Amino acid sequence: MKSTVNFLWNRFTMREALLLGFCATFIVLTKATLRMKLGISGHSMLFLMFFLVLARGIVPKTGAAVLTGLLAGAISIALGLAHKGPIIMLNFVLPALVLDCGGIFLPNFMTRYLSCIIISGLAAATKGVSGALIELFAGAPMDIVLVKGFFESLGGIIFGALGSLAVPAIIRKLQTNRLIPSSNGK
Amino acid sequence: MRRRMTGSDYACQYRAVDSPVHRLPAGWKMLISTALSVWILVVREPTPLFLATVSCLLYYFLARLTVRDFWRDTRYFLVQFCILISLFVYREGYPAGVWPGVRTSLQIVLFFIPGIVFLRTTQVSSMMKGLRKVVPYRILFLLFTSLRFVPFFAREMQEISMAQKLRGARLSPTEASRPVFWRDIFSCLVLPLLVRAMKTADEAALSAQARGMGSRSERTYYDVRELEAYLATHQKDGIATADPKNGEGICPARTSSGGETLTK
Amino acid sequence: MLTVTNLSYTYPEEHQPSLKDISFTVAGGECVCFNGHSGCGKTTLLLALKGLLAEENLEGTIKYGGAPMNREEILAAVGLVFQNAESQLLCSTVFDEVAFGPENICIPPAEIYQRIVESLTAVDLLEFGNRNVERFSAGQKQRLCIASVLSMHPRVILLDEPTSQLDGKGKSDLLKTLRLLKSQGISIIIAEHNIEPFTGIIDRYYLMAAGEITSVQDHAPEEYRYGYGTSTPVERRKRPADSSEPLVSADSVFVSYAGSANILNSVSLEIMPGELLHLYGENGCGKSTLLKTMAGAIRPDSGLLTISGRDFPKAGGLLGIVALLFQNPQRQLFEDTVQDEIAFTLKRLELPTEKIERTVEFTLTLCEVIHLKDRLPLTLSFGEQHRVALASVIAPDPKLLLLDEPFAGLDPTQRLRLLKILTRLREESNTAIVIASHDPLPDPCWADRIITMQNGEIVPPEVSPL
Repeated sequence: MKSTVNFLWNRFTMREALLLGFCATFIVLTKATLRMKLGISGHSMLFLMFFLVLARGIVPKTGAAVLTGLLAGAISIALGLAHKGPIIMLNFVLPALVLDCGGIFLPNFMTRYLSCIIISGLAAATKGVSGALIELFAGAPMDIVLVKGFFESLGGIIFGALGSLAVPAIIRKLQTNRLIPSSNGK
Repeated sequence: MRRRMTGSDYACQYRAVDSPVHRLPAGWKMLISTALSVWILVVREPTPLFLATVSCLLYYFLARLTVRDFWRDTRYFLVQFCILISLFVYREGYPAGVWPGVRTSLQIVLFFIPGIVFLRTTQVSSMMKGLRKVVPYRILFLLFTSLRFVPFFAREMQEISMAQKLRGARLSPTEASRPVFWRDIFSCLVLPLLVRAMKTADEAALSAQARGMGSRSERTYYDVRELEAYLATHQKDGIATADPKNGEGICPARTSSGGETLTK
Repeated sequence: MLTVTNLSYTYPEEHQPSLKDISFTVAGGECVCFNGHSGCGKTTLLLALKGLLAEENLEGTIKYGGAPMNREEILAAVGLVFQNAESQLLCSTVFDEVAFGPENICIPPAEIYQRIVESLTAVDLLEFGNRNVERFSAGQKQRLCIASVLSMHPRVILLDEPTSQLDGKGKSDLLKTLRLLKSQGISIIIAEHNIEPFTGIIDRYYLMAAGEITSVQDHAPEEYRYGYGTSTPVERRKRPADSSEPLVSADSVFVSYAGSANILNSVSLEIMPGELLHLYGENGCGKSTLLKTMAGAIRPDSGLLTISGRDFPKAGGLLGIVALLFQNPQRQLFEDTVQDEIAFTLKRLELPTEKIERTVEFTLTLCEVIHLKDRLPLTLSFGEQHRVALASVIAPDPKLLLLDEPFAGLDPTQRLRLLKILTRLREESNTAIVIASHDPLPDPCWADRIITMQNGEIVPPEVSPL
């Protein structure tokens, strides 16, 4: 019943692509919910990294995280949750790119805690890259940009790494229940 | 005791007023926004910076956005400014570091303003219509479908959360803020939600495939305004929409009132 | 004319065929119905007819008008309305949804407008044109699904369990639509447990079991007529007169949601310990809201509500006292084994380990899932998951058990089985049980009392339709 015909980028079936879209939906929903209920920034990184890593795990193909990030950014913009304008796309896509690159070198990273923390932490750190580039173009010196970026990213890195810690257990549970294939990494 | 919805006007939300900026096509607005943003970033001298600043603000308020909107859109940068100015002062001393800090901070916020104007003045439907010209339809399909399921999954989240709380899961906002209870969030809420998402993805994919999505390399698009005009014309002329008594209806080959044979 | 000859199909992961030598014909303007218990192959058959199954595992022939069709031709010629309307609708507005199919097959816009108008007229939804589908009732969503399929100009329409979410009005609207389509020469194939609403238009019934057609008849099989099983109605001891305090006491309770009218309007009722209640009403009348209010999940805006001696209890305060089984209860399953799933609430109540083990064993037996205790809940069949979810909420031995549309998706045998389990629960634990549903119960004599709701109010017994 599940079609194996590729639908997108010669890589994802329609079911996989929709599933990644729904992961993007969850990213946006949790972002909106946390902002309304807790009003604490940085917390949103927890669920962003969780769902990006999870997306890469449940559809273990290169590009899964990027597609999820792209869609999450677009949905945020469409729902008016992009408080920094269209450039918010980079906040979703850059971490996703790092995750997909990490998945190329370590295909099963999302099933192991240590690799999850490291790669997610690196991915979360890129969230500040777009802001840093803008500051550089605006004429801020490199040392100021780096120091500022470090302090701003610290919370996101910590929450992002923490968020990814929940992924291995969930992936294993989904594999045990035969909801996703056991082998990883394409 | 009425339950209140937690209403908040988010930054960058579409503002339904009429203005010269609102009336511009989305593509033009995108171009103007990009040009203004780049201009803001590259200027260094006071006079050009002043001109760029005035242009940005003019663009903003020409869109009939208010000072309150401006505050909502820019308040997120306040903390950033303080940090940036402090770092400049620390690096270059007081008062030498103040002006570079202020200038850089100003350029950063003004950089985002044109993009914010774009979002504030462009309806999602116009954005999507413009996107059709540049983005492959399969990605647009994913985007539209994901958007359509936002309220669905919001409801599912609420229902699953309610069901699990009634079973004793610790999912209230107070409990959710304590890391020791985070296991319940992931096990009792996220996992069932994921399972639901997988089932929904299966069903939605079948539904889309059953109606031909992805069967061709391109697709046509209807225009809702043309459809409304069509409806108005046909209702005005009293021309029958499918009338089963006349034998017209949803049949593969049938004749419209104008005598034109339409085949599937 | 649709002709199916010796159709067989085996799913790639399975060893047993899901369809075995299925043969039948359906002429234009005919309506046929496939009945059978869950898992007999009805849905698989519809998927095969729609061309959505892997061709390499499919044997036999399917011909439309005397000749086989390729996938592209089947796309337009055969329309399939899936069981779950919610996940079938892919677009945000009515017009978008109906235009979706024709756009995918590159129909020119001018023709799309005509198709949209025709399709929406046929299902009586034209006035809702640009509305958001989120606000639609289950019946409207179902009809919109039909319209979205009609716009492809099919010659055959397949419907998979179309009434599972529909109340009385929804069913009669659906019937009106199907009559119209039949009169226009469209062949209709329905896979359904509850055939009562359609007996007037069905020309032939095919009974299926284990992937085969076991019989063909032109009258409705009694077993599926009202969703009853062939076994005798549920036996139960007559409840003795109860002079104890009411378990639930509601007096002039009002509930509303932000931005909407009152969902519950001055609702007053009492439920005694051990009472079996049927809460009946159309979709949207407030049944679910009333159940959630009684469970403490929703706080009333005004009025008095006492549950087991507690005034305006919160959800956490009723743990172990009130249990609520939501619609689609398998949504709440997450543990590694059925045992763990059932033990979840007991552990949260911090009961001693021995008591937990005894209670789990008892509940597994009561709900007839003892043979599944070490299985993964998420790998079970729909009916098994349903019973496991029920077991998980009754394990704490609640005084009040609330069930919201518990029969949705269950075949007649499973429905009666559920009623028997609930009866045993009442006899063992004197649990008061409230079933909310938009249909009559499979056994109309099961409930001690029927409460009818309409527009958020309780209808006086003399006015109730049941």
